[in-house]
Amino acid sequence: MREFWRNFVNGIFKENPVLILMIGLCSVLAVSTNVTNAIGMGLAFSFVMIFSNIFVSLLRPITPHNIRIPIFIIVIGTFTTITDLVMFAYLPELHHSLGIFIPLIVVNCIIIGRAEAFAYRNNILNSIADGLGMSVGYIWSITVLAGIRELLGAGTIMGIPIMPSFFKPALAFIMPPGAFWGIGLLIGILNWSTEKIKRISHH
Amino acid sequence: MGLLGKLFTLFLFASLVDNIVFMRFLALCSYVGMTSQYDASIGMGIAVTFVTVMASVVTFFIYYYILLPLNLVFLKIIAFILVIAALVQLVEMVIRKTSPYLYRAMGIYLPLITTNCAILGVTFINVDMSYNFLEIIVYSLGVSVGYTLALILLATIRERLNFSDIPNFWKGYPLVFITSGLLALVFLGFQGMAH
Amino acid sequence: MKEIITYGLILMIICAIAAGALAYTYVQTQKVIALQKEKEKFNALHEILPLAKHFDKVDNIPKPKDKLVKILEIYEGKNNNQKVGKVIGLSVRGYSSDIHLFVGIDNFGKIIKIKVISQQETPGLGAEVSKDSFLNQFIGKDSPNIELKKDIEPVTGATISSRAILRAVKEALFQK
Repeated sequence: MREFWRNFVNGIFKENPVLILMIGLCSVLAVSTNVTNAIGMGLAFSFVMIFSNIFVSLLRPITPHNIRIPIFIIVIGTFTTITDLVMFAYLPELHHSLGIFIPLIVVNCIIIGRAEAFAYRNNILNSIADGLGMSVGYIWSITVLAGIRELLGAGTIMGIPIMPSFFKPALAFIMPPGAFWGIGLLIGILNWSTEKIKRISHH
Repeated sequence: MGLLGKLFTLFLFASLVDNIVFMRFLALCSYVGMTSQYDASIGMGIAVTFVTVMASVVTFFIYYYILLPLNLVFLKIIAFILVIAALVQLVEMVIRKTSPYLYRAMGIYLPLITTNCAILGVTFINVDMSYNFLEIIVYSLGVSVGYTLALILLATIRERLNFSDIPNFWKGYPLVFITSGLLALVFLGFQGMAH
Repeated sequence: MKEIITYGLILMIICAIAAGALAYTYVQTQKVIALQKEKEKFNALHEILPLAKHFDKVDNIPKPKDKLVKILEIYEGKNNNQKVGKVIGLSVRGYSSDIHLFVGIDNFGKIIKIKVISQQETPGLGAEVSKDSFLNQFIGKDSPNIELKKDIEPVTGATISSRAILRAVKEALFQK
């Protein structure tokens, strides 16, 4: 049980895929223009992440080492396609907003990376924990970034105006430069806080 | 505007106006990971160019001559990525035989070309925009050139940054991203070219 | 050699299962999408014949009298098996695009409502033919003997687009 919890919490901060491991960035930067899209993307990602981990772990007995990568790809691709089809039928507006980033989940480095580094070497329960942890880490990172970008770039959160009327939004934040600056800022802040915490714990 | 003119505009669009790294946010993992070394960046750019153009051609035929007629469009995602994986395997073998130095310099990022979202992204865009055969070649070439440009730009900047005095928590990746944001601002200027 | 065969077999089996799962998902979601399209279609038709509770598609579509107009589909609107009217879907070449419209006609052959479903005419000029201010002029007409300027005021600066709509409506009235 402790192991499950440890693996779960790992993906949220210590090995946060987006801000620490720095993989899977494409979708994070592109979809973080507003919070609604970010959460939608996060949930789609989580579905594929968790089920891929489960099935990669499940199929370990019949996955020879030499062809493991193609097998990972087929498994991840299957769940990505399922997500794509289901979103197209039931959530067409979100599907339209997220665009090509839904099918691109199949090459999200986080999912393939965890399949290789974790799910292929661990049992199903721990793989679920890892998948959940990575998903939570991904969701909070992309949502915070989207929060910053939407707030500063449009003055709203999820379409609800938050900033006072005299606030003039800086359009740059919704545009590509803002994405890079936003995440650079987040990583810088995270590094700074970890250094601070390390220094405090040494006294 | 003649055919050549249209194709040239498409090329400029793909490489600059809609630059795959700074505007579309694709291929970021390799962009951030490979640009610490200038040589590796060029090698990566060339490898990606080759895979992207070849993948565009192969997936073009698979989509229009197999998937569509047999009503198997829902297998698009898996089919396309498997094509790319096979091509990357090919490129890896070729590089290992012809330039062991490059092979070692690129290290783990070579098999990682498979997960390069730009390559898969281009194959999807080719289909979404219903580009014909000539257009997919020009578009994929344009995107690859734009990608290589982005890599080279950041690589040269990073090599100079190594000699600057920066506080610890900005070191490394935060600065990479701030810089990229500035580069993105520059490329945003190309949007004016669209008119 | 044995390895390659094993690898091939494993890959084939996994592929087959994956393809099967995807095919199933595809078929199911297609059903959902088809249902949604039906609902949208019904809503569009209902806007034109509000009295109808359901619509039956007419099978034999007659050839249009006007060669420049295409008759796409004809629906009979019914309320408890009583015919309330019909909706005719037509397509006609405008100034810069094909204009797709629905014309609703009641049991007395009078036009109830017209709705433009799609067009790519010039914004601000030809595109104004989609507005009710132009289309409502046709309401109540029951004879194909209508002319621009005499019976129907065209949209200013968009004679070609207006004339296209007129042609389509005349064809609908021929077919009633």
